[in-house]
Amino acid sequence: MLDRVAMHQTRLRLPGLGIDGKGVAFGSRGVVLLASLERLVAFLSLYTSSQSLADLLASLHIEVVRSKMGTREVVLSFAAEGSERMDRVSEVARVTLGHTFTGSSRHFVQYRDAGAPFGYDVSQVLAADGDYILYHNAFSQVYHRERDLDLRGLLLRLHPVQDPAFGREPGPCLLVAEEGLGPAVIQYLIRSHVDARVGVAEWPPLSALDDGNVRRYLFDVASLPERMSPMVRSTPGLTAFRVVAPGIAVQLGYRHPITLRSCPVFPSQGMVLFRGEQTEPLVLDTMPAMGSVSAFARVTFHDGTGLRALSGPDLAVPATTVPVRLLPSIEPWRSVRATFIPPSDYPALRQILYVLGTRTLQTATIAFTRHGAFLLNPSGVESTPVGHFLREIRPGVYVAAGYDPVPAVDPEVLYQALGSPSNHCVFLLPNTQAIGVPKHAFVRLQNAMIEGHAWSPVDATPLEPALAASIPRVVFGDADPTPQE
Amino acid sequence: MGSETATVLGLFEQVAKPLILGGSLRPFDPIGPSAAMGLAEQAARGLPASDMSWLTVARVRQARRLCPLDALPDLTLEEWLMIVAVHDLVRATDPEVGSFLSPGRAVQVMQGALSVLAQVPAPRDVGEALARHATFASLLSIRRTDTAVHWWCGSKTFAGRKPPARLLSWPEVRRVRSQSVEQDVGSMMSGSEASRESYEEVLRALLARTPLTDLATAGRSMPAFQWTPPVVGMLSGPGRHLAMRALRWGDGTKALVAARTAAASLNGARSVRTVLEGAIAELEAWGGVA
Repeated sequence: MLDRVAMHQTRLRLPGLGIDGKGVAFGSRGVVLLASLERLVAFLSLYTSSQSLADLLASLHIEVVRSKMGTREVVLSFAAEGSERMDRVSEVARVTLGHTFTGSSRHFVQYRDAGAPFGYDVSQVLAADGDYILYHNAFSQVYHRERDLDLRGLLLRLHPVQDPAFGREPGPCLLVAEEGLGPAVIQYLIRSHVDARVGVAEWPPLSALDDGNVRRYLFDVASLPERMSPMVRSTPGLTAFRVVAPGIAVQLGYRHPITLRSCPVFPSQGMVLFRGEQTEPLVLDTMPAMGSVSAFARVTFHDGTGLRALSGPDLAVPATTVPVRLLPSIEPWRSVRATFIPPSDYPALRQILYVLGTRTLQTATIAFTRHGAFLLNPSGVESTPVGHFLREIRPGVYVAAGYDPVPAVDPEVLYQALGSPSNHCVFLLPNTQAIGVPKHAFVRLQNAMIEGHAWSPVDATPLEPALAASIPRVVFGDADPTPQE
Repeated sequence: MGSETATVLGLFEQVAKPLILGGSLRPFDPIGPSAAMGLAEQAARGLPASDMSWLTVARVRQARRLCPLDALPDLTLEEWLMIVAVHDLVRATDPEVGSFLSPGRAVQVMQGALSVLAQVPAPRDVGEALARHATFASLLSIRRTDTAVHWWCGSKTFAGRKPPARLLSWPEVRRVRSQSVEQDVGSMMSGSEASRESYEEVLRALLARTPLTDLATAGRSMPAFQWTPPVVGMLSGPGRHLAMRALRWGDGTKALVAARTAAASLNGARSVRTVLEGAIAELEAWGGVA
C-alpha cells in the first residue's frame, strides 16, 4: 500500500522523489507502464492526436521490460520536467489502461490521481536490483530491461490503415512511378499542363537476386487536378502520396495509425513514403534532384527542313544562334485550324468521317504524307477530334497546340527562318522535325476519303408468272432422270 | 375388276395429273382401243371429287387465259378417251416398247390410239371446246430428257430413263461422258418413218379434237397447222372471239405464218375462205406484223 502525500508534506521516503512548487510529489523522470505493444501504439496514437511528441522525444526511452514472473511489458520513460506534462501523460495513459509513475533512477511511485492529488509515497522501499522498481497502489513490481524499442522503427513497421477520405480533396501530392512508367507519366503531366517536378530515386536491391538498384520516378505535383485522382489511385505501378509532415508522406486513401505530424522522428531532408496494402514504406534519406517535368519533354528540332534554314550558311547565322524549340504552354489555344493524324489514328479518322457534317467535309482539306495526314480546316478542326491539334500562328505555319516556340520570336520571323516557303505549309510538332507539305497536296476531304465503289451489273431475276405451271415430262420406268420442275 | 381400277388410278395419277398439273408423266403398258372405253367410263364416273379438285383448279386456270369463267365440268368421257390416246401415244415413243420379235409394235400402239380417238367427236359447243383446251393445253409442251452415255468402247442413249449406275462408274478409267438432251414433242419419236408418220397423225387427230389448243399452238413446227373443220367452225360461229384469243396466245408471227400457209393450201368454199381471211386480217392487226 502507498501513502498519500499530504499537503505541505516535505519529507518523502522514496529516493529521488521531491515536491514541486504546487506540492505535488514527483521525481525527475516519468514512467508509463503499458501491458503490450498494442497499448503502446494506442498510447502514442492518442497522445499525438492532441499534442506533439516533440517535447518528449529528447528524453523518451521505450523499453520492453520483463518482471520476475516472466511477463513482458512496455515502459516509456521520459523527463518529467513538471506536473503539467506528467498530468497530460497520465491522462492519456489512463485511457490506454496504462499506469503512470514518477521517480528517478530505479524507484518509481504511482503518479498522483484523483484519490491523492499530491501524489503517493511508499511506506517501505524495496531492496531489489531491478532496472525499474514500480510502486503502485495495487502492486509493487520489479522489472528488468530486456531491450529498447526504437520509435522510428516502430512507426515504420506500422502499416497504414485504409481511410478513403484521406487525400480526396485536391492538393499537392507526391507520385511514385515505377521505372517503366515514369516517362509516360511525364508526358501525361506535360500534356495535361500539370505543374510538377520530377526526380529519380534509387533504392538498394531488395535481395541478392536482384540485378541492380530499384529506380522509381518521384513526382512532386503542386496541385493534382481532381480529374486525375482516380487515375493515380488505380493505375498499377503508380502510387500517390500526400505529405503529412516534413519528410513524411502517406499514400492517398490510407492513414497512419499515429499522427506522424506530431512525431518528428524522421529527418526533413529525406522522405518516408508510407504505402498501403501491407507494403513496406519507401525511405529516402535525401530527396533526389528534381526538376520541372517540362525539362523532360524533348522538344528540340534537329535537321528540320525549315529549321535548318535558321542555321544555314546562306543566312550567315553567327555562332550565337539557337535552335527553335517547342515548350509546353498553358496559354489557351487559339486558331486551331489543323490537326496531324498519325497513321495509327487512321481508323479513328475513318470512323469520324461518318459523323462529320456537310460543311466540314466541304471546307476541310487533307494531305497524306509518310509521317501521317495533315487536315486543315479554316473554320476550326474542333469537329474532327482526332490526332494532334495545331495552331496557325501565321498563314502556312502551324505549331502544335499546347506548345509555344521558344525563343518567342514573332511568327513572321519564324516564317522567314523556315525559308518563307510560300508554296508549302510547315508544321512544327514536338519530338519530331518540322514537316513541310506542298499546298497542292491538300485535297478536299470529301474527295480524298470516299473510296471508289465497285459495282457489277446483275440480271434482274425474272418474275415467275403467277399462273405458270410446270410442263409434263415423260419418264419411262421407275427412275426419274431429271428433277421435277 | 381390281386390275382395271388400278389402271384407272394409274391413268389418273401418272398421266392425267402430269398432263394438266405438270410433272413426271409415267406411261405404263399400252392400253389399246379394246380397254379404252371401259377405262374411260370408269374414270369419268368413278374418281372421287377430292382427287379431281386440283385438276379442276388447274383447268380453270388454263381456261381463264381465254375466258373469264370460274367453273368447268369434270373430265368427260371423251376427254378420258383422249387421255388414253395421249398415254398410248407417249408410250409408243419409248424405244423399248418394241422388241426384236415385234419391231412394229409402236405403230400398232399408235394405230390403236387413232382407233380410240375415232370414238371422240368434235366438241359440240364452245364450252366443251374450252373444257378440252383446259385439259390438253399442255399437250405440245410435253418434254422428255434423254441421256446419251459414251464410254471407251461404245455409247447408248437412254430415252426418258436414268442410265444404270454401273455404266457411269469409273468415269475416268472408262472415259465415260454423259450428256442430257431435251426432246420436245416434235423430236420425241425416233423410230422408223412409218412410226413418225403415225405419230404425227395421232397428234393431228388429237389436236382436231381440241380446236382451241390447235389454234393456241398454231405456230408449232410439228404437226403443221391446218385449218380443220372444228377450227373453222369455231371461227365462224359464236366461238370466234375465243378462237382469235387462242390464235393470238402464242407467237403471233409464227401463228400468222402458219395460218397463211394453211389457208393457201386449203381448197374450201368461198365462205370458208372469207372466214379465214377475216381471221388472218384480224391477227395481222393484233400482232402488228406484215
